[in-house]
Amino acid sequence: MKKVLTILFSAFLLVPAFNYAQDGAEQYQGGHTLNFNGNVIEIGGFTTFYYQMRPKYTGDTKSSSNNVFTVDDARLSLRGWIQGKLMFHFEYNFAALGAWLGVDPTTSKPGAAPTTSPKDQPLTECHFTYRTPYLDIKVGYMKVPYGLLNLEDKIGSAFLERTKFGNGDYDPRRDAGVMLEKSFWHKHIDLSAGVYSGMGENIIFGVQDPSGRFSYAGRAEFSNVPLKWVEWDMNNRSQPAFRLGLNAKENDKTQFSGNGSLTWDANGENVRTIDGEKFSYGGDATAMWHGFSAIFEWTQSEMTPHNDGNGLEALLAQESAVSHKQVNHLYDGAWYLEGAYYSGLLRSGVAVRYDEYNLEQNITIQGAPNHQLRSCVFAYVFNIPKTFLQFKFDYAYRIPLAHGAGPSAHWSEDEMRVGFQYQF
Amino acid sequence: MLSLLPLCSFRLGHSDNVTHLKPFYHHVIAQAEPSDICVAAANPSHYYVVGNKGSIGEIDENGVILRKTKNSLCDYEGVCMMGNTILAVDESARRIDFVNESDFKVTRSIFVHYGGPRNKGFEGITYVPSQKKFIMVTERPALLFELNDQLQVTAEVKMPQFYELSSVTYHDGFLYFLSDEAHEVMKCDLTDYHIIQRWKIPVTNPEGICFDKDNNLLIVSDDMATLFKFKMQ
Repeated sequence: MKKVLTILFSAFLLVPAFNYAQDGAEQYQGGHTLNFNGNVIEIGGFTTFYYQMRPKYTGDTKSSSNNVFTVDDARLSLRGWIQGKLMFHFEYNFAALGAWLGVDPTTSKPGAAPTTSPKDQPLTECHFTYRTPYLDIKVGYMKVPYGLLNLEDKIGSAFLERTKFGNGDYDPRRDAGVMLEKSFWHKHIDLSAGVYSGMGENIIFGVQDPSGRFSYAGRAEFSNVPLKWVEWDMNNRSQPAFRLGLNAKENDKTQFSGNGSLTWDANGENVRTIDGEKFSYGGDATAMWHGFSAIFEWTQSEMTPHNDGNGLEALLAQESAVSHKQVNHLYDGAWYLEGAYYSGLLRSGVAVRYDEYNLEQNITIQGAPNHQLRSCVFAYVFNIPKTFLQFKFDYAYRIPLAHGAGPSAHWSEDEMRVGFQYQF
Repeated sequence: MLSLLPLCSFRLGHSDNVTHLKPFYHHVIAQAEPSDICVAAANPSHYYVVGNKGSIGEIDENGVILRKTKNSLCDYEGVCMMGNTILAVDESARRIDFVNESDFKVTRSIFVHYGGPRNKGFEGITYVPSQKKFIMVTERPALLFELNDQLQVTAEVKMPQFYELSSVTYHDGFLYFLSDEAHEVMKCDLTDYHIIQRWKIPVTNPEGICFDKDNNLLIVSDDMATLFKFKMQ
């Protein structure tokens, strides 16, 4: 079976690639606009429903089957424009609510035990933007301007599932703060910069960092056509389009034990938010032409642990001993390459993606050490006017890298998913 | 999959009976994100240009800006003349502003309902004097709305012959539709809107269309903020 899937994957690699979001020629952008004397409210959202097949692996201790029907998204989105100058966006994923709270309805007195995965908290957008003729000021809980995949809406992706690179496992995607944004040269250049709590999605729990230090993030984009990351309706351009993006983020936090601990990964320090200073930088390149597209994105982090006896500090000492010199920083990085082709005539798209993580020893992405992940997808968009309904077949499997491979070399998330997404 | 590429090209509007045009003149317009253009009633050598930052400007026949309003941050995507009044369409708000030609002041506004996503509203507007009706179009799906001279919608027409539309103008008894993504101008019959002739234009993100008094085709590009002139063949 694995050989067949490998051959299938290799066949997909022969097909030139795309970003489905840019390329979804038939893609209907959801939303229903209501007008109240010049003030506009757009009501929309989307659902994701699929059947998941996860084969058992050697050493899998879970007794129950991993094959399930699941509702992954039940999102309701409200966007408003007040006289064109003030915008707000509120989005809530009702499907994530139960899982996030960890409520077990089978017990007689179900109680809420917050999940160990703060990225899954159900509030996905809650912010407003004040537009001035000079720049836009965004305030609230929002996506941090770092990384292309981070900023891309899930519904715009060909895949049913994000990679760990862009799903919040590797780096927090959202945070509370203030962001300034400015476009130049008819949107060919777009600059975003913000100051945030640095707590990521944990800020919704009310978890604060005792140091009170902020996090700073910024992104610059350049494209030959205006391909701002919030506008994904530039479909099937007959001229070649390309975009380059650069990101940087600084986050200096103090983790602490006890109530409200940030260390939510029992297997070791988590790469998301460390006890120390984490300076991240990265970039991305996108090219697109007539349904073909390709994306490359990479990120790198330099970590400087605080001197308070935590796990990272011990790792630093270990590396210093091995290299016989003083090591002051730890490094990790990740990258992915995605390619796709979408045919408007066939209303179908295929895409392949390869992502790789190179982490320091004992640092994990939600329990997963270094690995490569290969995934491919076939998507079909139904021809229903004013509706966006698509069928997707998504397959992903992980290859552990030697460094960090061990008992967890097998991954519990090798899977196939067959499902639908509906945007309204 | 690769063998399907010719079909995909056809889907994108590549066809043998399309005439390819080359501009004989172009000039950068000093206005943010120009999204439509129409001939000025007061001076047929001048044109009004609206931008989707909410500005209205007047340019001469060379594309030089003569006057313009500040960006009001509304989302103008279409413009046409009705007598001496400029009609500017705010795509997001589904609003038509009546603008005084002399001082660019908005004298009144009306709203035309259209659901769907906010930024998929009306992209173009033109007036057909012989039938005393307005034509408005949406981008994708391409829909055409007929409105009477009181701007009441009288008909909604699906336009499956178009993949996408970015503007429309009336000229010499025909409607001319502009497609941004197909980079095409399509001349259509006024009664059943069937396509009579097509032209390919080498312009990035063409958003506005009109004709000058010499029957030259004028196109404005949003991305490039540029006025292009073509001789029709």
